[in-house]
Amino acid sequence: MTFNSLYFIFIFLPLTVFLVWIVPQKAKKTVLVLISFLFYAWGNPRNLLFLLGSILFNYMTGIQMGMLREQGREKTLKRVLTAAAAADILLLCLFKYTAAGLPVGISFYTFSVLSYLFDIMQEAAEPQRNLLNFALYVSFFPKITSGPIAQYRDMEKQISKIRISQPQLFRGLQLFLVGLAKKVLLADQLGAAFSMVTAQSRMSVLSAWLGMALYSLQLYYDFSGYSDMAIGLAGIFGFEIKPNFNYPYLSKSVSEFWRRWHISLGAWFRQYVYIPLGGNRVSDSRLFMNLLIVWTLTGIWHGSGLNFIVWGLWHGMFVILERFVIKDRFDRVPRIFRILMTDLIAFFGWVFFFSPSFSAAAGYIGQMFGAGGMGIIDRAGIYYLVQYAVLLIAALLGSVKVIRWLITRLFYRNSLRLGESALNMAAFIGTIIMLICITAGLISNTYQSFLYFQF
Amino acid sequence: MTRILEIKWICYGAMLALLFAAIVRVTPSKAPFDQVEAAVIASADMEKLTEGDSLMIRRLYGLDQSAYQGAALYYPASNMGAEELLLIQMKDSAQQKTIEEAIRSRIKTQKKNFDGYGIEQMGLLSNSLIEEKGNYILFAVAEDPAVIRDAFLEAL
Repeated sequence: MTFNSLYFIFIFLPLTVFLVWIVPQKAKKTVLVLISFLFYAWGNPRNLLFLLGSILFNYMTGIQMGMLREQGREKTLKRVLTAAAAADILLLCLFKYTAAGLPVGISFYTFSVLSYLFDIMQEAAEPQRNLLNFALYVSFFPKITSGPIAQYRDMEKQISKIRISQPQLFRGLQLFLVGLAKKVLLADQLGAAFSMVTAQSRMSVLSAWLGMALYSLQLYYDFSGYSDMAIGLAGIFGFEIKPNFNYPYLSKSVSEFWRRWHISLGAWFRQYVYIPLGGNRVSDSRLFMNLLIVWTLTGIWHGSGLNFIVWGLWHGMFVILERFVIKDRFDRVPRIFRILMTDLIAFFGWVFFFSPSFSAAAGYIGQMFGAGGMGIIDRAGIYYLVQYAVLLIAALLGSVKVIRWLITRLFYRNSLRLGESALNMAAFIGTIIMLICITAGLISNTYQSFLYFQF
Repeated sequence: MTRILEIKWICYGAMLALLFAAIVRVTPSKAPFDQVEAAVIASADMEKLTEGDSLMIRRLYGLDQSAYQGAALYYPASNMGAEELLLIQMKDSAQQKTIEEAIRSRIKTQKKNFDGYGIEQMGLLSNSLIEEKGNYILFAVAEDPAVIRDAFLEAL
């Protein structure tokens, strides 16, 4: 089941909210865990067995680590952690790199359980004695399929007692709808446009660059939309999960881009790989190696293909360049040029991301520089550019805060002048209009999965 | 403590066993794509079908033909036809989910197209089959899809 299906929006979600709301406080957690299991098992019950196995295995490892710490057996504790983390990663790799069929969300929940074990090791959290609490942390349905990868230290207190309030419910619902609108009204349309443009057997330079831009925006709206939905859903049930995106296409450097794009994954690698390797407080050569390791792992996390490793290293290369060569040399360059340069690097990197293999990516890049033999500009390229111009401009403006600025400036401030009740009424009407547009989009369009489900 | 250790690793062993069972089940077939395609075509009524190119695969299913080891589409020759064949040889198992979703979406679209007037077509679509074996996926909408499935499985 996915967040953008009519069944989820109009049946599963309302029933879940109703059920969790009416059951006594003591039973809320049990209900949420059972619903999360049902959500995860939907369509493929086999996957639930692996999730349950992972929950039990890591829960017991946590208990074991707690016992060893009480006994002061630090060396054994490290060995237990290493063995368990290796076992978790081995299972993930076996799934990713064999023909077994990847259970949806396994990359995300494996990183969640690893976060739990590392937090115990780093004494940032206590071992969880309550199996139900741990099961909720790992399987909580808003975040299980594609994150955000909430670190255990941030969730520890929240899972021990569920607090649901009306303001949180409404805020959560609003964020969910914003995410859904991003997915249905923009990402899916951009995806359809990308498919049409790249369906040409040979592309002109214009078409190839247009395809790259369309995919870059599609991925942003698809994944940030999903993240908004997940964070909004978590909010409905009283959980606070940190934002996963912060207008990444407004970044002035690649390093900044990664503090704004898939924030939870970057934070995970920083917390559990980069800092334990020594972070910034090491020699330049060691720092270079640390960055290389982190970026190779980031690439590998996304997939086993050479294209993903190249994509990770592509970003790593610019982060390293910014760190060692560029430093503050570009500070005087106008902000807009630095943003455009960063976007160009990020957009170019997505070619490795959407291509099924490294050779396909190389072929696509060739077409971006005229290897398609269709010239720089052709009729098809102009046709698609004109046809998708409005969509492209709307998506671009939305990705760089302009739409948010307009809403705040024109709608929020004017409504505020009329008083709080007018503001609430305007927000309510806006929400209803958005819901109608989304429903119409979901009914008229064919179903589009989320791009990050493949990881 | 020993008890915890035992239970923990038994649990992990069970997961590995399940995983290996899954790997064995989906071991890729070495049969060449052309051979499997020929067997499938031979078992179907091709008079009602037209061969589709990569553009048509993208248009009807939203799938990129070049992303797969092999992909062949035979779609209805007339607007009133519902018969269809899609055969895909995957490059890796991660592609399976996308293909399944694309097929389900296609069925949904076709049902929407024929809803209310195409009783026969709706019957064919409801009776359609999706067969997955190893690295191959077959989608068949036909009068007797079981015959096509048997030919497909035999060819693998």
